[in-house]
Amino acid sequence: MIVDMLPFCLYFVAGIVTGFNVYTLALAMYGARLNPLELVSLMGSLCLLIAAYVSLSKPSAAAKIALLASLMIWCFYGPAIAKSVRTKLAKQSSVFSDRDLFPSGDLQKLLSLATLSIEDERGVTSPRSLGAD
Amino acid sequence: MPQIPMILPYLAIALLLFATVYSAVVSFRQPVNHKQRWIFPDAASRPTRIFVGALTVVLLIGFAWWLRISTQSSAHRSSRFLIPEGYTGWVRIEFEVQGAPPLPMEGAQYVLKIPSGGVLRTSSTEQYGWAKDHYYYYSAEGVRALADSGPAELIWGKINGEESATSGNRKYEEFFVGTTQQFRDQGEKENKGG
Repeated sequence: MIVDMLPFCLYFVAGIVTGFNVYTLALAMYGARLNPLELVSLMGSLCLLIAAYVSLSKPSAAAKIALLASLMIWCFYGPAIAKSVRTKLAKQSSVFSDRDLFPSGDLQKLLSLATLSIEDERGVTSPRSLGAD
Repeated sequence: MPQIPMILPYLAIALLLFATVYSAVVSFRQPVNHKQRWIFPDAASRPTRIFVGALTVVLLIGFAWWLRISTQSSAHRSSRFLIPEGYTGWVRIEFEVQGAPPLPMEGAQYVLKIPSGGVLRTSSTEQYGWAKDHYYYYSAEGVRALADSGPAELIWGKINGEESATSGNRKYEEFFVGTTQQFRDQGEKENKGG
């Protein structure tokens, strides 16, 4: 029974966790408009949940839905991670620091800042927030 | 509790990576290899589907119940922010400050009267939950409402946070009062200032 549910568990948990993460990031800053990439990612999480249920009866079709959904979610995580790494590298080079890229769980802050930076480029919000350094 | 949000993005990325690779392999793999059946199972059995269906119904009912309770319990947590007339800039409210006065209540609302410096300290605890807050400029003549949404929006960047201080962790709330342009200018100024 558990073996039957492997794809279901994977898609379901991935959908919930990514959806919750993007949802909390999207609501992290009051007054900021919802970024289209966040919306696409949230839709992807929803599709991943749908794929989880489809996987119980049609694993192959579910995999295709899940793959599409994953790509939708990457639309947010890809640029966010790239932006985070770029920001981190720029900071490191400016202070000649040799610290790790993501020390002590800084990714949450970096993702948040990346989200805010995307908004900021559109002239909507400021990167001041979330107690980030 | 703060540890959970810290690992959440890592967990999300790891799971997403797994889901992407797994779904790609299943989508493009050759006909079933029976030795790998535990990794790529066929359709779930009927009991499994019934179990998942029942579990989903229970989860949905639980979520709806939690949502109802949460909405009811947060009905009295609305706050009224009174900001000095003409004030623009960041407003900060620090909670659980020893020796500071508690927040007064008017009707079902907490009243937060911000001093001219923009920083209010209170011994009250921070309020959580869903509520519609209200913002006003106050002066000797009375109060006037501030828009917190729409084209004339004057409230921006509201955040809740916690920072370490010598006296322990301090919870705070911040938001910016001003026009879009003022908020943007402030952001640019802070960017330049590092």
